Amino acid sequence: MPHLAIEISGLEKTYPNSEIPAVYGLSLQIKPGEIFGLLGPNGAGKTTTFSILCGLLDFDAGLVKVGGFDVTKDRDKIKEIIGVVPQDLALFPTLTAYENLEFFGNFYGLSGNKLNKLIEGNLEKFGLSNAQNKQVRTYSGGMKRRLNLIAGILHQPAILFLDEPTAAVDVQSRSSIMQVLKEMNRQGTTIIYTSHLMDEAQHFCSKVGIIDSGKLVEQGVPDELIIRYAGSSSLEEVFLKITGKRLRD
Amino acid sequence: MLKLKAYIKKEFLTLLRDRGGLAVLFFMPVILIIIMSLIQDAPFREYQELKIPILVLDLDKDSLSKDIIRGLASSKIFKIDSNIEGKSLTEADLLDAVNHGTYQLGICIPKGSSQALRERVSLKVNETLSAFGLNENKDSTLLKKPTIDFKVYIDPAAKKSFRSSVLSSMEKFVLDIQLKEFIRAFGKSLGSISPQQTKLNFDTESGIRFQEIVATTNKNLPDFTTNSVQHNVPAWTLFAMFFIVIPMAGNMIKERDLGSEMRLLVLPGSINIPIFGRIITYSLVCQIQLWIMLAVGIWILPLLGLPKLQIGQVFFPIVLAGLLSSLSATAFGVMVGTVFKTLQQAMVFGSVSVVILSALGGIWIPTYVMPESIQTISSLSPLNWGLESFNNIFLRGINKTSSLPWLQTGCFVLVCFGFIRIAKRN
Repeated sequence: MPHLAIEISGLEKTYPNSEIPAVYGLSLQIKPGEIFGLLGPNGAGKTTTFSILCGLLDFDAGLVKVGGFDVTKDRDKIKEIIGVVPQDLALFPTLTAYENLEFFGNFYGLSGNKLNKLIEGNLEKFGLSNAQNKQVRTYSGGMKRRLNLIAGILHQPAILFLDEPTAAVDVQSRSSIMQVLKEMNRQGTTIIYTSHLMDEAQHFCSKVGIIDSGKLVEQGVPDELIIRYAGSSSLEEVFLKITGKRLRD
Repeated sequence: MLKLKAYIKKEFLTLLRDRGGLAVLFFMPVILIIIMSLIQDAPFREYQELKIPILVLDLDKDSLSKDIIRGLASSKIFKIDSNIEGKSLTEADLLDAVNHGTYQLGICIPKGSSQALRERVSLKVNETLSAFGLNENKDSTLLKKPTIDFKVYIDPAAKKSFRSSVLSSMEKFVLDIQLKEFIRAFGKSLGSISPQQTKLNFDTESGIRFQEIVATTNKNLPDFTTNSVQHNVPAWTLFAMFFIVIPMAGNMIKERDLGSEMRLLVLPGSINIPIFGRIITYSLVCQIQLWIMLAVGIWILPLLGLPKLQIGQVFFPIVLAGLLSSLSATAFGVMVGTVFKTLQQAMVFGSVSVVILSALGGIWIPTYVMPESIQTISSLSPLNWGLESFNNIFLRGINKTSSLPWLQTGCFVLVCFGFIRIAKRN
């Protein structure tokens, strides 16, 4: 792993038919082994940045490197080392949990016993073993969310992108998810995480970056930010001080 | 290869668990083939093979009307009824029965028709004999020949082709009777002039015969022309193959809406794997469809009194023809699923476009009866090439793989890929 897991410099992106840039002059560095929280209100540019990092979106200007690879040139290499857990439950509902994971595993070149062990181990870890042969459409919201996470981490990626991985799940599922993610991080996985749950971000992330109107407006270790912004007792208060209380679209 | 295999397996499993999609792909076409073959069985048969019921009101009750009724009844075309449920008939009843579609044809033979025919023939004979100077009573040739006005009532719903076919058959009968009457009267008149020559026996049979030869060079093919089964099985199989657009595009859009497509884009491997995976999977489904439908034509339709589907002796060209059609169908399906953003848009466009392409392709009515301008457009329909391929193999015995529509299919698939690329870029 290079000395930077993620390197963004002067990133600019304006969508067609829009005069306002979604991301403007964004620069950011994430070290290997960090859990970086990319936070921001709705429309701040988080999803755009996320999509660019995953190689899903082209950009207008700047430099973006993931795992030392340039996203404009080495998309295939980047795809091999990253895992993506989208906010949407990106699963095939008529396939069983096992079949879903087998499908995603095959795409990472995994097969046979190795894949079987990884699938069964992860299903066990997330309490889905008993339901592994049921079609995903019959799962509860929490079960789907856990399976959605497994699909993104099955191949043990070096860099993991998480887009609101615990949205709309119960406390038990959230606890299980966060526990596994922390374990992965301990084993060396770099995690880039977005969420609107500031309390979760405060306790989960080793570093956060607050983005607003397409620009990085603040970054640092959550506890340090709370101290830096006098009168704040939580990351949420820091966030509101920086981004304001104006409602966003 | 592992990725492509994984994708094909995923598509198969998804399809197998989509009962609605399976019904659209397999059950509906079987029903469609059976119904269309049964419905179109009669129009595809020669009229001579059918017994068309005709209601006849005989007001003449003399030799002519009896000859006509006997002639019509002895023919293979008509079934003669002279009453309705045993009740005697009036002209108003006849009109009513035809008007309500109980009968498609009703004939009223007017009173005095036989007498009028005899007078007409007699005058004609005199006229002929006069021309040869054999008739002393020349004044009779100046008399006006009486006309006989048969009233033929036709069901307003009867097709023009049906009317003209039946009327021409009837005209042939009447002309035949008239000719025989003329010859009989002519012979009798000649007999009175020359007593030694009383028995004239003119042959009214035509000396010209039409020998039907099916134009094929393949000696293995049975000697037959097309029929309802031979048209409908390949035609509606192709229609079903193209209807694969609906489940294909539907699954693609559902996956996009669920976010699975986004996840596929971040997976390692070519972004074309989903496209080729779908095309391969659904092409295999099309092959299964094809052979199921052919099996229905060979073994099920004969149980319903329909002719057996003839597919010839060579299977490989059939597999290839099916493959080319399925390539067009699946590429079209991927295009619809990519270009359209909502399920509703894709469903409406998919189904309407397949109906239009099939209408143009000659699935419903043969292209040769279409106007010239439409025939030109129809040559752009992949269903037209598909149907022609099957007609070539099944009916014409043309089994050369080089005669299959490789170029047209290639162009059509490329056009679809062009649209897919543009849509993906946008």
